Amino acid sequence: MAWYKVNFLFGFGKQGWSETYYHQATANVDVVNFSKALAQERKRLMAYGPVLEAIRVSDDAVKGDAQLIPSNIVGTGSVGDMPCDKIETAWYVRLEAGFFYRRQLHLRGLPDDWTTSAEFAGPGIWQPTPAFKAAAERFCAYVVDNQWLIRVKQRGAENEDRLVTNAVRDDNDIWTITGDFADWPQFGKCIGLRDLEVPQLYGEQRYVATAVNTIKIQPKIGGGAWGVGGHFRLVKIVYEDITTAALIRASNRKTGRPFFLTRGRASNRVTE
Amino acid sequence: MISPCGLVMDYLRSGYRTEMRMQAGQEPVPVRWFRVGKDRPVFPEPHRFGSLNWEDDHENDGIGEQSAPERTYDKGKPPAIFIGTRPCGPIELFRGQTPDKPVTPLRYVMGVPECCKTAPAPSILGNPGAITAYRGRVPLGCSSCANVPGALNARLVYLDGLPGIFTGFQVNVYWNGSFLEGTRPWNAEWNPVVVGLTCAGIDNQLFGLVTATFVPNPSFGWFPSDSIPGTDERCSPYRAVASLAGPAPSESGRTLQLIFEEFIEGGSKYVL
Repeated sequence: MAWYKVNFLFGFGKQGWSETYYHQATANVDVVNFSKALAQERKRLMAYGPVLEAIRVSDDAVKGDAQLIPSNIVGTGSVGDMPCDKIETAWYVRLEAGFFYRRQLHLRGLPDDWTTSAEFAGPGIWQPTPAFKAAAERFCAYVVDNQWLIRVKQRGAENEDRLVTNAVRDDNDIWTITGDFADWPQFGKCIGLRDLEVPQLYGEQRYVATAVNTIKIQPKIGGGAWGVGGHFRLVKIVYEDITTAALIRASNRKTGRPFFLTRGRASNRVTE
Repeated sequence: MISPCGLVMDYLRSGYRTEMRMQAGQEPVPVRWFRVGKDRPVFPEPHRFGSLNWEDDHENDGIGEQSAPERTYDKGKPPAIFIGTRPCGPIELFRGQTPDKPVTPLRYVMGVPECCKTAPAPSILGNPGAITAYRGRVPLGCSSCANVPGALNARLVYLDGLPGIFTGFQVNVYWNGSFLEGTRPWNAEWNPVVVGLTCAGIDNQLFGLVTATFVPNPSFGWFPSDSIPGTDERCSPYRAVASLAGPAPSESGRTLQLIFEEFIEGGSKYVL
């Protein structure tokens, strides 16, 4: 079984955005089929106008892995002729995995009737129409019921902190730490650093375990020199089942340029 | 060794120049991400040459795009022409695997790999037994149907293993056994026939699904694929797939065959 990342790529005129989901599967073809089914559910929340342009599926553990599902398969929104003229207005859905992990999902490309014309509940606040609420809850239930996942960083417990006392820097600015780390590589590929002598290195750094009991860290460019003190803790990437998907509130977030402009940069010019 | 021949390899917002390692143990070579028209087919299989933009970090020293220290912006202007609707090279290399057969270098004519212009002859892959390539109009199936596997599957592919990307094809089912339901050699309930087209990138999902509705015929039944519902432009380009599922006919001394008759590629019809 592998964990797959599924990106939905949306476009609307000169704007575009993507949504990311995760699923576990034994083969690409399985997750492609899962993704297509999810796309059909997602399209129920899309107005006429915005387009689910494509789906990109990749094994999250394999760098550069990609499988593309083109637009002529996933198609346009399915909410009839309900238009959408302002995709910045979205609905914020909170995805939760148990008590500890949550992720934001902003559903945009919605029909205007579901946002701007809904019952007005105060300045800048929209209430979902019954039609949208029902459709969104159906989508949320689908995500939960069909084992879609969120990817989270699981940090080791405080008592797993290990004291850095013997970091050595080489000429390439790579730090080597030796010690009793034999069990670490199986836990993850990231470590959290804190209380270091040089604060620029604070945060999460990737490491490469080149040998048993040896960890190498290459600080980001400009990270500065690192002394020999501090603690670090492993950070593990895990995939957790979404247990709750709840419609929270309307949101307003700008989108970037689309993926499918044939050339050049996106223009901000308004054309009549 | 390989060339996508202008097929869509990934979705990006901007072009850039970087390096890719085409095979394990080889030095990375410079590559350029450029734009192609929305009408171009996508690469039909999972592959290892996606952009690192979709990864959490740009670190990779394996097969595929490299974490090059100097990644430069590129306007993404495409070459003057694209030729071909299929990639060149063994599919194993695109998947980051080692092909069984020796790989021959690409021959370039006017800056374009020659194989982008001339696709190799298609073959037919399928079961029963080990995957075997058949050239031309060769029946696939059992010659004595006393012990047929539970399903027959056939795919029209090129000889190098890449799936064919066709705009049309014709496949027929041949069965010279009995159609009497009493003896159940060929029964609508137990022997559904799937003769269909699959969309690019999706291997198992058949768009045409027709149960066996053969008119009882003392010798054989023909089943043209153009009568399949759902084989519209949503699926183009697509792969040619045919399968017979369910318990096999048990009438010995008879022949069950899937026969690919012809295919259409680039507006030209080819008879196998």
